[in-house]
Amino acid sequence: MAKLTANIKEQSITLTSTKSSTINLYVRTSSATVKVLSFDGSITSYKSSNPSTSISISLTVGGAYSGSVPKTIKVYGNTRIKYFDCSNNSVTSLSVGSAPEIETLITS
Amino acid sequence: MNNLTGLNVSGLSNLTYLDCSNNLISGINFTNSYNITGLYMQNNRISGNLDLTPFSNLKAVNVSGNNLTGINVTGLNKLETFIASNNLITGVVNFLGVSGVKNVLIQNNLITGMVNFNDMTGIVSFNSSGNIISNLSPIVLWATGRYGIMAVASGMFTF
Repeated sequence: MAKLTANIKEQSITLTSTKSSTINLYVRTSSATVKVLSFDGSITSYKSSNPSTSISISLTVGGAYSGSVPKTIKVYGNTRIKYFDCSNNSVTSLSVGSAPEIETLITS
Repeated sequence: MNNLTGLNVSGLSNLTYLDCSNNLISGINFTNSYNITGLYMQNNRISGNLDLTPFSNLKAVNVSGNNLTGINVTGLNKLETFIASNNLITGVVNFLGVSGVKNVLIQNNLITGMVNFNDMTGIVSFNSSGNIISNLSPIVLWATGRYGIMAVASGMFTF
C-alpha cells in the first residue's frame, strides 16, 4: 500500500511594535484554527477568541517592556493565513513572507 | 496608526487587498504581487514616479498625501477609483485605457493636463482643483455634470 504524506508547513507573520499598551491583532485562515502564538518576554498575557477560522488576539504588554521597547510577536497559522490586520499598534517592522497565500493585509 | 518605514510584499501572488496607509513608508517591494485590486497607500512618504501598470486587476487606488512627482495608470481598464490628491505630481496624466473609472480625485498637485480624458464617460466624481490644468474637454464636463460632482481649478460644482 502506498503511503501518502502531507507536509503542511506552518505559516507565520512577524511584527515588531513599540506600543506600550495592549496590542490587538486579527487573523483569519483558510480552515481550522490559528495556533498562535510566540512572543518575547514583553507580553504578560493574551486572550483570544477563535471560532473556527478567525481569531482576535489581545496582548498585554508589561514589566520592563512596558515602554517603547520593540516587541516581536509571531502569529502562526496551522493552515493558510488569508487575512491579517495589525492596524493601530505602533508597528515598526512587519514580515509576511512566511504567509505566502495571504489575500488581505491591513497595517494602517 | 503604525510606523512602518518600508514594506515587502514580494511574492504574494494571492494578495488582493493591501492597506498600509498612515505610516512612514518610503518604498514598497511589490515584485510578483500584482494581483492587487484594492491598494491604499495614502499618507506615507512615497516619492518619485509610481508605475501602477503591472497591477492589471486594480479597481481602487489611493496614494494621496505622499510625495509623488508622477503616476502611470495607463491601460488599467478595471480601475474605478483613482485618488492621488496632495502630492507633487507634475506634467500630464495619461488616462489611456482607463475608460471605466468612476471617481478621480487629483486635487492639489502640479498637473498641467490630462491626455485621453475623453474616454472616461462613466465618471461620477472628479476633482482637479489646486492644479494648473487647461485642457478639460466639453465632453467630460457634460458627462460629469450629468452624473455626479465635479471640481475644476479651485471651484467645486455640484449637479
